[in-house]
Amino acid sequence: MRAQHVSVRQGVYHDSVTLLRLSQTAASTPGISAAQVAMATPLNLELAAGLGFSIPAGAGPNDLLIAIGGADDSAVNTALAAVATALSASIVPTSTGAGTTPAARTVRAAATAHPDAPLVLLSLPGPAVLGEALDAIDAGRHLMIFSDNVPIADEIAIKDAAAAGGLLVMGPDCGTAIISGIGLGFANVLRGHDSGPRVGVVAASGTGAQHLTCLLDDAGVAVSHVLGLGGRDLSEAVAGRSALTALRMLDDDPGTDHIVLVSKPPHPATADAVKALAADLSTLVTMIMIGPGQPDITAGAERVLAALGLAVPAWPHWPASARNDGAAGPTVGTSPGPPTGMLRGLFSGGTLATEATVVAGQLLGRIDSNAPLRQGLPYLTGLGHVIVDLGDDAFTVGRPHPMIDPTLRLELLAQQAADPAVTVVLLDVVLGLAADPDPAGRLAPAIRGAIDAAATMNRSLSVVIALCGAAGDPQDRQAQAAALAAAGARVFASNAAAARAAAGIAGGAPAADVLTVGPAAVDDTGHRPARTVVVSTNDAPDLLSGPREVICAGIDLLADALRAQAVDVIDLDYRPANLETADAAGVPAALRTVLADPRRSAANAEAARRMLAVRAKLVDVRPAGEALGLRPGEFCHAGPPIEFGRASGPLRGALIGAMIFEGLADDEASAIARLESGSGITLRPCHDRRAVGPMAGVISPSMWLFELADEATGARSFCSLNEGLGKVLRYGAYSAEVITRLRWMADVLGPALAIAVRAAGPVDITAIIGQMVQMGDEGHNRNRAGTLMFLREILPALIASGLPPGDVAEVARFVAGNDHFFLNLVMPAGKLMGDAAAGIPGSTVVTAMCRNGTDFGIRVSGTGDEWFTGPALYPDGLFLAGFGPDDANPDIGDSAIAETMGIGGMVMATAPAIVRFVGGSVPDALAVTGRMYEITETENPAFAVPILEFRGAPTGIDVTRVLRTGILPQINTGMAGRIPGTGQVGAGLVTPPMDCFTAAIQGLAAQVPATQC
Amino acid sequence: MVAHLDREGVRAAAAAGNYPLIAGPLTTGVVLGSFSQAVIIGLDSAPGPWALSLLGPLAARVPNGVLLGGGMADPGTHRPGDRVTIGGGEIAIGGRRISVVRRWNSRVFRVAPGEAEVLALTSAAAASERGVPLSGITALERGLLAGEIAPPIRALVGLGDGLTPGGDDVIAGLLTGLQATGEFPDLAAEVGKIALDRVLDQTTVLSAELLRLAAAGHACVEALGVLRAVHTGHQVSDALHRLLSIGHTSGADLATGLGMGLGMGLRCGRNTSRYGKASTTTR
Repeated sequence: MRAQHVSVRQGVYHDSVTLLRLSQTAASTPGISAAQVAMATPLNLELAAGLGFSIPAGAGPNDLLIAIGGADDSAVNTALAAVATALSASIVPTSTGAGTTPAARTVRAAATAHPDAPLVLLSLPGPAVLGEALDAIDAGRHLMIFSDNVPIADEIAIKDAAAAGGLLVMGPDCGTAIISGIGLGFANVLRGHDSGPRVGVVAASGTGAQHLTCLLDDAGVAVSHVLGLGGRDLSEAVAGRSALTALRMLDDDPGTDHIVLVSKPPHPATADAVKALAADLSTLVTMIMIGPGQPDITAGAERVLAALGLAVPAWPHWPASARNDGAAGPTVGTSPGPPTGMLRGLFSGGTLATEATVVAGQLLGRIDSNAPLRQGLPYLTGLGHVIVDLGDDAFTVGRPHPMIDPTLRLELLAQQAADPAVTVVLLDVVLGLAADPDPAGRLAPAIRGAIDAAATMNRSLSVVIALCGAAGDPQDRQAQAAALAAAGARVFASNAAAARAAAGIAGGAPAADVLTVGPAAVDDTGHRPARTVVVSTNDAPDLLSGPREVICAGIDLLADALRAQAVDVIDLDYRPANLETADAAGVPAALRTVLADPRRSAANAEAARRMLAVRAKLVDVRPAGEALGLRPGEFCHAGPPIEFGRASGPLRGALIGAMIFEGLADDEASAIARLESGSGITLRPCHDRRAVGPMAGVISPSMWLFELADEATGARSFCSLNEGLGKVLRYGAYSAEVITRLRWMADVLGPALAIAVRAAGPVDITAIIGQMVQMGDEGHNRNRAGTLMFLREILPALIASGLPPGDVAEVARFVAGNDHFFLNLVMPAGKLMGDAAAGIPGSTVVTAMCRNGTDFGIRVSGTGDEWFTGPALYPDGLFLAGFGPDDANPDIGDSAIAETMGIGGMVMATAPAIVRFVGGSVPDALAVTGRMYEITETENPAFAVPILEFRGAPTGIDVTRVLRTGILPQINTGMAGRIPGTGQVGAGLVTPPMDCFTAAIQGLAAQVPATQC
Repeated sequence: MVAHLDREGVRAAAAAGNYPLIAGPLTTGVVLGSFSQAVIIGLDSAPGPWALSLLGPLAARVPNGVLLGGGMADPGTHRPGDRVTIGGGEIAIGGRRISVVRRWNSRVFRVAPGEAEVLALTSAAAASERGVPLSGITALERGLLAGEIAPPIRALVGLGDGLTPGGDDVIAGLLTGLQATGEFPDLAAEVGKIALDRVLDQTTVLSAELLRLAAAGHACVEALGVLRAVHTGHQVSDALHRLLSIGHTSGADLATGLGMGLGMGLRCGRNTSRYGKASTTTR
């Protein structure tokens, strides 16, 4: 290629089928010789490199790779434009404006919005499955997991969680299920015969189930349900966890008269457990195990018919058109090719491949499978008899399944035609829902071409096809069979018959069109007398009546197939988090470890319960020296621990001011000298002393503090008194007016409030917060209603205090004139809530978020007092007159405790009055709060948001949900000037850095007991 | 990518009881009524089927139903008197083409319910507002026990208001209950025969069709859900809630008949289904 374009878009996610379409769009542009639009997985990067593209460093599996090469720049640019158009068309709008809810990002959000959807269908990348699957189980929903490449530990964790709730997990790697006539994934359209027995199928093999049910359908037997298990359920490790549930469900189903279990040979111990359960059921169970020494699926179907007392029909077959049949003799040339040769099976269905290997192996001896990979393609030339399963995980990483995309198989078919050793090619063609709408459309010409190509080399090549389909399938089985037969293939409805025919050709035996199947020895659990099976109380939703609606996450194709069956689909707007940090490598593994921790769900529920149980009351106002035991030279500051040398401008300014206020320094220079020397100075986070402080958060012994208590637990928290806006200590100002105000607050305001609070009795701060949230305050950047309600509570006691009227008036004027006065009462209430949730082993709920102007720090319940930090970010918002972005300091203050407790930015929707102040619109505010529900553990009915139909505030930020969605908590904040002494420069919006959460998940993972991993 | 998506028109699922009609040769009908969750179509067929119901997602899944994917169109789209053509797997109505791509099971299956579950069913029915006077229900119960069923059944057909009069619902429920026990094929057949005698003169076309289907062994999904629940002992209250939520009193009337039929089975002890499935209650 003369021109090429390679780009990597970070954090853009599309499913592989969408990307396949994009690649085809690009490749079909004139002048384009190579195109790959794919997620930048290692395999895809390797493939792109193999195509001759230069791959930029740093691309990861969450990035979108666009690689297009062609004759010239103009062709490449045309193709790029086509891809860009197609890409933008495939992006789902995420916010639909005021009054509507954005599409759910997690299964939990979708399940909350759709309480009656009994089933969740997941087709996400394997490692992303765990979180969504556990969401489904926590919400009490059955699961079908279509995804492959799910780690086995995840599968076990998911199935154990499901078993506790009596829920069925079909998969991972479950491609086929039918529930009450609704096909899920690759399923055939069965006729559902109106009389006679109804057979339920439990399948650890997708194509095995499809093949069996198509044969039963041909025999006139109705299939009640097909419950898939996934390929690993009957392994030793997974131990049939889903099989046992599925068998019980079908046994309980009055609409199922007979059960068939179809699978590859299970692990012996698992087989014993399954057989033991089957023997206890009141429904007869026939087991069909596909493998060496076992009867094939066709024989199994015949055994089922015998057990039901029904006749075995002649299984359909379509002979090759005689003129075209390679085995009947060469169509051109002079002498026939060798009478025997190699068999090559190119399968899309794993079980069909296995069955064919066993059946053909009985006639041919050794058959190799699965072939070695070379540059992502199986390499067959030079091998003996080979049957390869192209649907194997090894071939599907970053690429659609061969049932959807035939490209790989067609290439291999052509390769076999050119290989002189090959006599017969055996293929499976699977029809039904979600499968290729016209497989013969591309396969028939390729078969014709392969036979002709062999003929030109004086060889005879036969093609034999196992056509797995039902008469009712949308592809029209008869027409597909006819097209394939006309191209020269022999077509069989029975895979075993097809394998025997192919083996016969390869072995030189005469190829009978229909082979008789020998007597079957399928394992039946015998007729049992009626007995009572004791099943624990089961709260699982009714699945087998047929779901009215299904929650779908992942491949559009599967959702479309459901819609095509008149089933309502709830689409998840799934987007993986972009975890690009220095130590990201360990993050996905740590996240899965923590998600799989069986303590997590209950621990988080307990953390949420404790947060919501807090009733914060203002009980006293006292000097910090007395309340916290602070001595001269001891200071508290906002955020995680920091030494003076690393302190930001505002924190330095506030400390300078506090030194002057406490009389420890006469001026700025002496304060700095003393702070830098550290002599007699101690700096500790407010959080370490049960306190919180806004912005710089500096507390010194002479400052007065609010003291809040939670009566039920006796817990206490403290916060400084709010100085107002502008040039104030907490924004780092320390001029004379700042110090004068602090002295008045210590001499007049603090003592006056103490008298009033002691006289008026405890003031219920939680109650005031609940009201302010309904009055347009979000409790962080707007506290006007709260401030006035607080003043209303204390004013009578203040007036009756006996203090000089001038002082009373000044206190009332100061409180009423400062719209943020109540913030310093919201914050200690939040501190009580966060502390209440702290220290619960296994809990991933955030109990503190704070920043010191340099670092952002969070604490998480399960890791106690440990801080997880990252660099504090710059807020985005509006600036006061005369200031701009260059004047701002990074984010600072303990006030993010408001968001930790579920208000502030979390309930932006309730404060339309300030969204413009922080640079947003009303729909933005609604969307923000909508997003926050995705990352929080619970909703707090005490803080209800009227515009959201009084939905409770999103409360209890969950580290795992932040990492799963990439949604960071929204924090409303003020902005301090970067230079010490400046004061406030603006207000806006900010988030924590993702680093806090990636660090926290690794800390949490380290706490998960090894036995629970 | 999916063949279905290439078809034009609305995709739909049909009850198995309806499927022969829809898959069969072309027949015609006329819209009788159009509601927010259902369009009722009367069919020009003397021996039946007599009526077909197009259903929205919130409608009860009646055995003559066709559930429209993507929800109902504006009910105003279809007006009484509009002509409808049915057959070959499709329904053509007012320029819309509805393709039936799937069918759901409406066939009654055999169950062996526990006494406690049947009691829960009958109590829930008794506690709900019903569409027929208690005297009619008592008379039917007495008739069943005494073996004189014709008079009480004739008295119930067409009794009550609405598109499906309560008396018809009670009989349909009774038929389903008797069939589900598997013990009374002759009694069920007799109940059906009496109910269907000149039924088109006695009740609405829709109700007559539902009785016809009930006699043929088909029931609504909600009633089948109750059968499943009383058989397994799982989720009984949820299933009852879904059945009782049908219509104004239809659900309670169906539940009344269903309880009566299943109660007859309890009196005769346990049974075993034709295919060897032991029918014991598991809980």
